[in-house]
Amino acid sequence: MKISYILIILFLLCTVRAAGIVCPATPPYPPCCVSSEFWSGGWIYLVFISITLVILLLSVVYMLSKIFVKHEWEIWVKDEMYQILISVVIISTLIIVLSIICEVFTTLAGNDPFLIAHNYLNSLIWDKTLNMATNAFQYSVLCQLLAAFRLQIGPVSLGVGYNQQAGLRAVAVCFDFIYTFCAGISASLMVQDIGLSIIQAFAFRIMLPLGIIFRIFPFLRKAGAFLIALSLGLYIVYPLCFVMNKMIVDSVLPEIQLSLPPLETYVETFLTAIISPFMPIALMGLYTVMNQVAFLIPQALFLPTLNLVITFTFIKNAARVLSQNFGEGY
Amino acid sequence: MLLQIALSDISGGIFLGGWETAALTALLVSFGIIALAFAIGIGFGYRELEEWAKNEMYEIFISGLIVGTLIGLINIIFAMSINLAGGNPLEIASSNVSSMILETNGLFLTLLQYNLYLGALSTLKFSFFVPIPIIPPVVFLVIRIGSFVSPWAGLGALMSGVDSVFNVLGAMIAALLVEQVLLSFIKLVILKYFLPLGILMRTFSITRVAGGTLIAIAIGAYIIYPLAVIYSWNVYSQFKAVSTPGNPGDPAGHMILENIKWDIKDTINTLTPILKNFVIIGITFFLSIIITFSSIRSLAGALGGDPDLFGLARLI
Repeated sequence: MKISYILIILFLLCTVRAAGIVCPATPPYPPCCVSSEFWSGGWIYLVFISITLVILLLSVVYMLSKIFVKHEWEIWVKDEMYQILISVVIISTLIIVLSIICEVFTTLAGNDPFLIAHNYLNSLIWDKTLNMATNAFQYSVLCQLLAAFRLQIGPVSLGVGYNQQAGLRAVAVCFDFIYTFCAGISASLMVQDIGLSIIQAFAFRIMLPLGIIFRIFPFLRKAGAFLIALSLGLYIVYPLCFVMNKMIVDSVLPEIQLSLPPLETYVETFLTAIISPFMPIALMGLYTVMNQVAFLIPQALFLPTLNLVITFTFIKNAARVLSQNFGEGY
Repeated sequence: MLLQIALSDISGGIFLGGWETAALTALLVSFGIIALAFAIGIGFGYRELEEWAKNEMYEIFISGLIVGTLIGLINIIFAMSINLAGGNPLEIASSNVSSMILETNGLFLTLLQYNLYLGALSTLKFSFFVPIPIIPPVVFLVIRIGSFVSPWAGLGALMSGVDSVFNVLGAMIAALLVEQVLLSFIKLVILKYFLPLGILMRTFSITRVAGGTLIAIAIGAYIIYPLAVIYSWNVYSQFKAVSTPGNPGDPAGHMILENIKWDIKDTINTLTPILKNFVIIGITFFLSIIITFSSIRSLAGALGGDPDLFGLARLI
C-alpha cells in the first residue's frame, strides 16, 4: 500500500517534470531535452506499462509461490519489488534533476557546453594542429629542394659539381615526422569533434529513454543502468571536460603564433642557404616548430586523454551505482 | 617553510567560483541526500537502504576530511619533496631538463654541420673528357670521350648512419622539450584546476571514483613527476661521468682530414658516445614516466579512484 502511494506520487512528479524537458517535434532542440520520439507513443507511458507488466509478472510468481509453497520464489518477488521501487526513484530523480543539472552546468560554462566544446576543438584542429602540420610539410619541401640543389663550377663536361646542402635530407625527415605527428593529432581531434555531434544528437534522445526502460526489467537491469550512465557521462561530463580545457588553455598557456610564414620567407631562406651553405638555417625552423609542437601537446594530447579518462571512469562508476541493490555492497 | 603552497595556489579561481565554497556546498548537499535516504530506510524498514546510507556517510566524512586537511597534507608532502630534491622540485627539474636540452642542442648543431659537410663531400663529382682527334682523308673530327669521378661517393653509407643518429637526436630533443613544457603546465594548472575539481567530484557517490582519480593525478603530477625527473637527471649525470667523461662527442673535430683520407673509424668512434647519450636519455625519460604512472595508479587505488585508467587512455 505504502509502495503504491509512493509510486503514484513519483509518477505524477515524473510526468509533470518530463513535460518540461521533452524535445519539441522539430529542430532546433534545446540543450538537455529528452527524446520526444517515444513521447507520441509515449516513453513515459512505455515506462509505466513496463512497470505494470513487471508487477503483473511478479504477482503471478507470488501466487504460484503460495500455491506450490516455494519460499525462494517469494523472496525473489520481494527483492524484485524493492528493485522496482529503486528504479522508480532513480527515474524520477533523473527526470526531476536533469534539467536542473543542465541549467547549472550551462550557467557555469557561460554558454551551451557543446557549443564551447565544438569551438574549442575547431580552433585546435584548424588554427593550430593543421597549420603546424602544413608548416612542417612546407619546411620539409624546402629542405629537400635545398638538398637537391647542385652547384656546378665549370662546364658539365669539365668541371666540379656537388650538392652543397645534401645533409638537409636528414632535417627533412625530422620535419616529415612532425608533419605525420600533427596530422595524426588533427585526425584524433576531428574524431572527437564528430563524436561530440553524435552524442549531442542521440545521447538524451535515444540512449537515456532506452536505459530507463531497460532498468525496469530484471534481466535488463545492468544494461539499463549502463545505458543511463553512458548517456549522462557522454552528454554532461564529456562536454564539460572540454569547457574546463578551454578555460585552462585560455588562462594558462601562452598564445602560440601559428600563422603560416609568407612565401617570401621560404624564398629568402632558400637563397640564404645557397649563399652560406654551412649556416644552420634549417635548424632554426626545426627548433621553432618543435617548440610549438611541445606547447601543443598538453592541449592536443594530454587534456583530451584526461577527458576520456574522467568520462569513462564516471561511466563505470555511475553504471555500478545505478545497477546496485543498495545494500549488497560495491 | 611549511606553507610552501598557499590557499591561493589551489584556489579554483574562475572555473568553480571559489572551490572552497563549492566543495562545502557539495558536502552539505550529499549529506542531505544521504540523511534523506537513511530516514526512508528507517521509516519504511529498508535495511539495505540503511546500510547503503551508512556506507555513504562514511565516504562523506572521508571526503570532508580530505577537504579539511588538504592544504596541510599537500604542504607536508611538498616539504618532504623539497627536502629530497634540495630545493623546489619543479624548478630543479625544469633546470635539469634545460641542461639536458642545452647539451643535446650543442650536439645537434655539431652533427648537422658535420652532416652538411659529409653530404657535400659525398656528392662531389669531377667531370672530365679526353678529346680523340680523328683525321680521315676528308674531314677532321674530334670525339670527346668523357666521364666523371666521385672519389668520396662511398661516404654516402656513413651519411646514412649519421642521418639516423641525427634523427634520433631530434627525437631526443623533442622528448626533452615535451618534458619541459609538461613541467611548466603542471606547475601552473594542476593545483588550480584538477585538484579542486577532484575534491568536488569525490564528494558525490556517482562521481567519487573519477574524483579520486583526478586527485591522484594531481598529486602524482605535482609531486612525484618532478622528483622522478630529478632522479633521472642524477642517473644520466652519473652514467655520463662514467661512460663518456668530458665532451660526449665532437664529430666536427674529425671533419676535414680523416674523411678525405677515407678514414671513418674515428668518426664512428666519436658517434658511439652520442648514441649512448641517446639511450640513457631515452631510458630516463621512460623511467620518469613509469614512476609517475605507477604512483598515480597506487594513489588512485588508495583514494577510491580507478587504478586502471591507462587502459582507458589507449582509446585516444
